[in-house]
Amino acid sequence: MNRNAGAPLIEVAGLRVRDDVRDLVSAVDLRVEPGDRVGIIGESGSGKSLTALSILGLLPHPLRASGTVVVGGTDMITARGRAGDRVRGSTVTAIFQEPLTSLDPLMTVGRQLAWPIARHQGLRGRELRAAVLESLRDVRLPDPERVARAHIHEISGGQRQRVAIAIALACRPRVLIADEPTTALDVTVQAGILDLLDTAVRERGMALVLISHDLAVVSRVTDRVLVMRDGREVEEGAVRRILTAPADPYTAQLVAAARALEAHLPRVREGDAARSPGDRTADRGPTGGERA
Amino acid sequence: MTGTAPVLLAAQGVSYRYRGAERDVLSNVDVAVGPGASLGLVGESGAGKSTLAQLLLGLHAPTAGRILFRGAPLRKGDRAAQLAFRRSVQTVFQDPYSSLDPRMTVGRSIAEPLVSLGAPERSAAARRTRVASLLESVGLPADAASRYPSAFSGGQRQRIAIARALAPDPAVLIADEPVSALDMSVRIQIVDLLRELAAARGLSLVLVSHDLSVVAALCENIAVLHDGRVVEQGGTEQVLQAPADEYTRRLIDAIPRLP
Repeated sequence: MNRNAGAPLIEVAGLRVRDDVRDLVSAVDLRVEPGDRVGIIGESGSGKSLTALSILGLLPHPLRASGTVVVGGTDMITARGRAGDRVRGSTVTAIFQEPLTSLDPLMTVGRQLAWPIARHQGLRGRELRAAVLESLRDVRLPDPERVARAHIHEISGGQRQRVAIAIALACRPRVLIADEPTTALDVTVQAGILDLLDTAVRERGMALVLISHDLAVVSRVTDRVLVMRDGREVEEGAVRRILTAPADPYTAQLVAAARALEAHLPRVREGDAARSPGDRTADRGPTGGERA
Repeated sequence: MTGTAPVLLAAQGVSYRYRGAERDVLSNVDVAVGPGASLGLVGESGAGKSTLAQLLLGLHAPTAGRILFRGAPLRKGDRAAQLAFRRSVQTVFQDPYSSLDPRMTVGRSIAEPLVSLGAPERSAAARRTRVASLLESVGLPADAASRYPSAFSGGQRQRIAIARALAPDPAVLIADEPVSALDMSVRIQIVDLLRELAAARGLSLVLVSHDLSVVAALCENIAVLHDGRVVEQGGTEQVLQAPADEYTRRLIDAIPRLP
């Protein structure tokens, strides 16, 4: 673990991802400093998830990355086995679109959560059980005792994503990668998860990389955004600048499409201004739409 | 829905319970769509909106209440009436990757309802002409007919699925999340296409969507479903601007907006 204060948490330069035939990602650069909130936006096939998997050192066979991918001082392109695990456990953790695929169906929520807490915080017995409940409370799950005893099929999709976030946070990472974390969720549940991510990274001083196809979602919790298309970086910049003065015609088209649909909705009412990005003091707590 | 407006397809006091289930997924639902009008069914997962769409399509019979088409209840067993109903009420599904048979050419897929529903195009040549005109109406070249679905993008496949639904010249199109599986920049194109087609053909549209902006773009009326009940319905603008129901308000407030 390299925790030099000046070094970026994630340094991606000239990233290229190939399968046996062709380049799926080429020439992507991304730098994430402690506390940064960066969005990666793109449509299907843009390479945004492959970029995330490259950072995590988890590209599936036969995909290979080349270029520079350094996370917490470790070269993730060459890191194998334990070296990669050390970075994934402590510097970076990730949550994905479908928490069902990353959670164990046979293990209670409490046991799945106890494992990383025991490992990263060195707790056992009663202290460990208390820490498990505390971390379920941290992600604002109602009735943590019940959730800890439950298997994941016994809780709702939104609650599962909260459990996945709790497990990711239990590792006390310095950066959280969230790949389409709300895409499979209902809109009222999504609002709660975005609030939670927002609060969790702020309170812990963590960095966040949020990957999404949805400009509104990305602009709600990040400050800077990387736009990707067909495996290439289209442009990068401050969210506000990208939305108001996109430099690339593709970005302009994405923004226009999102605005065209949004134009059919009523304008945001006065009292709701607290929800706009930039004002992160609003913390509305869990929404009610997450019953199992 | 107002009692005086003409009604083409309606659910009246409809409840539905899946076999073996402990409770109704729909309870006492009243919705209606008039000729050339459009109705959006919105709600979150489990609200019952897709079940309601399936009942309106006549795929299941309601446990209580009735589905009325042109004022008459759907009659099981009357084959001629069933065929006429299927010609008149067509559907488009969410996922164009699974709703098109990968082994059928696009032309055959589009012509399939013409054959199976006994459309007036009896000869192969007449069907080819009809397919070409349908492809044109959804913005695809006529030579698309000889290719397979795998040759097309998601948005193009959804255009093909729409062309197939239009083949028997229906009066009502029921679209269940027709743009949810598509990329953002493609969504708006399909929304525009559906709006143009509905207007040009005087088609009634029933649109199921979790996305309020898509419904607002396409439908003059909206019914908000929550836990199997219609909690609010009326003119889309009215409901979105001044929601009367607490759940509707929560739904609208939860939509992330661009700054």
